[in-house]
Amino acid sequence: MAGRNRISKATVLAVQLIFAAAFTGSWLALPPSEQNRLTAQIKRTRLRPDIEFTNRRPAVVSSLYNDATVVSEAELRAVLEKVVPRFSRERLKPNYVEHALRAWGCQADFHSPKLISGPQLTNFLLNSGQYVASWGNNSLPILQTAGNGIRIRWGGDTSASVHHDHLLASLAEAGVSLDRPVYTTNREATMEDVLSEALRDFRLDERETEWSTLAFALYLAPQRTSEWHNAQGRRISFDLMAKRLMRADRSRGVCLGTHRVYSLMALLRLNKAFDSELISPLMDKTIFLFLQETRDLVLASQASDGSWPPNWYDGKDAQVKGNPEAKLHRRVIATGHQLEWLAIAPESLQPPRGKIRKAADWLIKNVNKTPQEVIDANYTFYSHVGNALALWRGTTPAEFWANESPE
Amino acid sequence: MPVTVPESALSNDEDFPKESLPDASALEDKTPDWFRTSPSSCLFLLGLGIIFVLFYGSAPLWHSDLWDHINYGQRILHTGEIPTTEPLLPLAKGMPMVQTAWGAQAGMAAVYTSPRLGLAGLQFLNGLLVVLAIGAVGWAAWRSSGSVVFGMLAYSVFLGVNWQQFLVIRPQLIGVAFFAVLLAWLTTNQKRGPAAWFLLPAMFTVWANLHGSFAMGLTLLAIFTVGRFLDTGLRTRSLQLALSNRVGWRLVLLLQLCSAAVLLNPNGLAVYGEVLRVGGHPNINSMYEWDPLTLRMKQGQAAAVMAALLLIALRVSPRRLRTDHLLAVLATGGLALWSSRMINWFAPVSAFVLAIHGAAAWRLWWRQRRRIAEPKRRGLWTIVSLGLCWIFFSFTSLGVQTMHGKTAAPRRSLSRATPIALGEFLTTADAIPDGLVCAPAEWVGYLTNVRGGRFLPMVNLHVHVIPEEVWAAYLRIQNGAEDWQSQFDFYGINYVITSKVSNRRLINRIEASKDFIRTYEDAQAIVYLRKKEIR
Repeated sequence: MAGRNRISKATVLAVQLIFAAAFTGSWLALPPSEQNRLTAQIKRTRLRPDIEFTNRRPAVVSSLYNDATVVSEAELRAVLEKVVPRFSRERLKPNYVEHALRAWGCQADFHSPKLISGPQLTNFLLNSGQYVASWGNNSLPILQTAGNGIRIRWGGDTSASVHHDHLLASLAEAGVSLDRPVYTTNREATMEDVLSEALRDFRLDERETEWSTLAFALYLAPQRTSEWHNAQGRRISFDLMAKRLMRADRSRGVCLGTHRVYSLMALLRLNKAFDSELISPLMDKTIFLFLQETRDLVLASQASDGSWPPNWYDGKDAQVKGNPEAKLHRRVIATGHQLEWLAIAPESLQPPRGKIRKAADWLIKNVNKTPQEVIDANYTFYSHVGNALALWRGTTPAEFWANESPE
Repeated sequence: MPVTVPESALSNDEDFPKESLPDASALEDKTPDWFRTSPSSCLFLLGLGIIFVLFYGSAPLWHSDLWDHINYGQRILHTGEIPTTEPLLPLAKGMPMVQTAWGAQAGMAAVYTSPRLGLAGLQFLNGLLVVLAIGAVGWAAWRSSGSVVFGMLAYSVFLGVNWQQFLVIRPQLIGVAFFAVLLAWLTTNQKRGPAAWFLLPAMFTVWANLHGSFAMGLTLLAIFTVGRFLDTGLRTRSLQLALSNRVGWRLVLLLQLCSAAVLLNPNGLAVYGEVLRVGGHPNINSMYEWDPLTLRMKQGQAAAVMAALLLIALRVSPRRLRTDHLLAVLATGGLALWSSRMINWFAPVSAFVLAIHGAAAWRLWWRQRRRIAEPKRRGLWTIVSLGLCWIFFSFTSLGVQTMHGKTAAPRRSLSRATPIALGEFLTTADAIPDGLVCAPAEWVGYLTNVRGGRFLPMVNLHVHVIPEEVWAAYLRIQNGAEDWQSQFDFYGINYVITSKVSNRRLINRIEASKDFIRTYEDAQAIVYLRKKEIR
């Protein structure tokens, strides 16, 4: 009877071989993304996105027009003078810095100690020492170490970046390279680590995806990367991100839903610029149709003075449904942002040029008569105005300023 | 030699010849040994058959789970591929999916779409799996206790404790059946047979392609392995003897083989990761059926009664409580307390232990010194058993369908909670606009199936592949939270299906708003359409 239970050495060896071979073979048969996911799950570590960053510099989405009838050089100069970054260096708001950077770029030099230059703006965001010098020890640094990535602290707190990935998108629009050093309070990293972390923790159904889409597209389009896996193992693609941006009611989204439109337009431009490998042909067409409808709503909702109301998405019913007591700065937001995306939109999406001129006129007049302190208090909105008008002259605020300013 | 009939048996009627009726008891049974069964087997089968016919053979199919699985299965059959990302939900596109139940889903879809089987086939399959599960445990208890009555008690108790889980037809039922078979094997003396080296790993291979509960099977195998060593150690008080237990080492090797056998599935090693991931998924925690087991639940009350009876039986029973049995009861009981869904594993284990100790206690009570001898096995009983099986079959929906060609109407084959009328409306109506539909998750599977690809639901019941934000938003909507409209706007939802039973607050809010109009109503549901469609 005991003999029946006896296990031979050959049996033991065979089982061990089968066991080892089965698990080894199964591991090798897994796709790399799945291997990474399983490893991260077992080790309870953070999963890095499965992208190799071969491209180091962000793409540029430039304006398609240079129309002096929209804004003259003098008018542009006058507007830009009001939106140069003249912030106090104490308790410097990251949101202002980000808006200034995206408008003025990371190389802007104003030759004035009263104004914060592009490098200084960049340094404030990417060097925790500079940030702490401004905010002291009462606020958490804006850059936080997250495993081998760098996370940006964002939220409603004025000492933080306000919108998710807005900092990253601003730096991308400012032209900051992935090799740019980044200094947290305990280590040195690079912009690549910031982008990597953003890709990792991106979730398609979070509240705001406008800047994530823009930032990722600017950095990844040149290397024709159209999809990756996030920390949850979800395959994220620009198709999905575009669909996500188009999904909600048009009234939803930051800045009256206009940032969604800008990001979609940028995506379309980048797709065309980089061999149509960023999004599928069907999605390209879908975005175009969405933007066409947006253009029609914009056209129908424009007020007689040329401005656009906050409820531009109501189209021809905008005046009737609008809130007559809506604050003026909301019109500035709507008008400035609409002009901005239209400046990078192709002719096929343009409203009649006369409408653009009227909107630009309204904005220029508004900026000219608005006291500087009001503009400073609403810098984020007015920075878009400056950028939009510069784009309609086929330039950027920094480029125009450099050409116009005496040495 | 002519057989004589006793005088008393003769009637007064002179027409009956005295030498005509042979004595059946003298007939020689020429059936082969493997064909013979005992009257106890027949009784055992009778009990199972009655359960099958009364509760499952024609029972309406529960509306949740079933249809999602059929939808996934139909997709697998249609495309010939097992998807690696979620294929049916627009909001879950790109979400990784390790379909551990692909085999069961494809099977369910094949049965459903088969013209010969259909819904009746699913009902039959459901019943068969339940009977297989409880039958395996009952058989194990019978073999271990020597009492067919306590074997029948075991399966009855298993059925009673796991009643609610058995109501829902889903691939998990296959897992429960396999678990019961494994338990039966572990608790009887089968573990010494050489066939186990092949059959057990083969069972795990099949199991891993049918449902992710193979992990519970491996857990049970591990528990019995550890229990074996511990048992020896405790009894002999010798570590050396414990570690040299050959049966224990045999179980170790079998555990290794079965763990490796699981890898023979389309997802390979990823199934292990998936099992770990699903159990801890935040969306799962919001499902009431994964809540801890409490006395407020009917199954909690049943489990409590079971636990009490078990304690009594163990107290009275003269039979030694084996360490592997004890560990199994404690482990599965602990799991059940953690999540009520785990009662699927506690019920068979505790039913088995209750039965065998109950039998021992009973014998002690009645001063029964030895087991009652099994009646002689005969081919006759096998024929009777087969006849019973045929009778039971004929009473099921499938039986009626097969023999008489009468297919029951869907309203009789499906649970009353299935939104049949709504489904009919949706198949005829062309009023569903583009975009997402928000509907109760337990209805989505059925509505997707009847409406086809034109129905784009926000969620379904496969919550572990739905993004957390989406599931959280869905729950808020279903509960009629204040930001319901904001959620609809955010997700671009133009079409809303509500349940009159579970969405009262949401219905009140929608009715109070001016942005939606009512387009359909029946006893179960109200459907709303957004006036100004989001495009």
